[in-house]
Amino acid sequence: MDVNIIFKIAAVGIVIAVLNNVLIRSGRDEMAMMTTLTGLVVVLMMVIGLISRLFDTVRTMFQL
Amino acid sequence: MFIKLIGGMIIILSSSLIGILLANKYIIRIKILKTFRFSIQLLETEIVFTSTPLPYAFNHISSKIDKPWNAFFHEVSENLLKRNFFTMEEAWNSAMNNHLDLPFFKKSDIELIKNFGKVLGKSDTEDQKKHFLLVYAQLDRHEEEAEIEKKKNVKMYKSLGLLLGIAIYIILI
Repeated sequence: MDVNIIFKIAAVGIVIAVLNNVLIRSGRDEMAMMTTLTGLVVVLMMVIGLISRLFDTVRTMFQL
Repeated sequence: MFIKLIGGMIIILSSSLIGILLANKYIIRIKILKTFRFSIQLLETEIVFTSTPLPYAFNHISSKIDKPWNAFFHEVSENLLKRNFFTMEEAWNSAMNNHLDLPFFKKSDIELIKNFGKVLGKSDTEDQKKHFLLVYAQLDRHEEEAEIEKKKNVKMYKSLGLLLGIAIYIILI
């Protein structure tokens, strides 16, 4: 289990937040929305493997 | 490890350069419009005060201003002196196709310059003066619009390029 992914997600979050601000300030609200969604999807892609592993672990622990 | 860092640097650098390139489009458009205004002011002086014939007036102007208008006015002058075309308008349009096919222009800018070429040299000094006034008014509007667009877009494209580069780098690590 590496801690790196947490930092990575945090960095993506910061960059997306700044991007969002820049886009909103220049009057492109719908584009800002799109970038936020894209960031969300990217981070989900990163953690989806870990989540599935967690479910597997839970399942094997309780023998379901 | 080291190669990764260099690769990331290249990604960030190139994407921020792309951002600057896109932002420059708006800066250059207003610059070109201002140069055009300056050059037609020179032309007006040539016409109103010294009554120079158009080919020579264009030649004088082309030596006084900078890119891309110097090449343009020089070619119009050449076209007229060598009698390559039947009318002034054709000479003007041909030079426009050769020198003003720039990505910075909007369609309305091109239309404005084309219309200006249509009336140039067709009437007496007094009437020409009126046409010049009209073009100045239209140029004012275009410059204003370009200024607004510049304010809106330049900062955004620059920071967008840098931030997207950083985002790509972080995702790829």
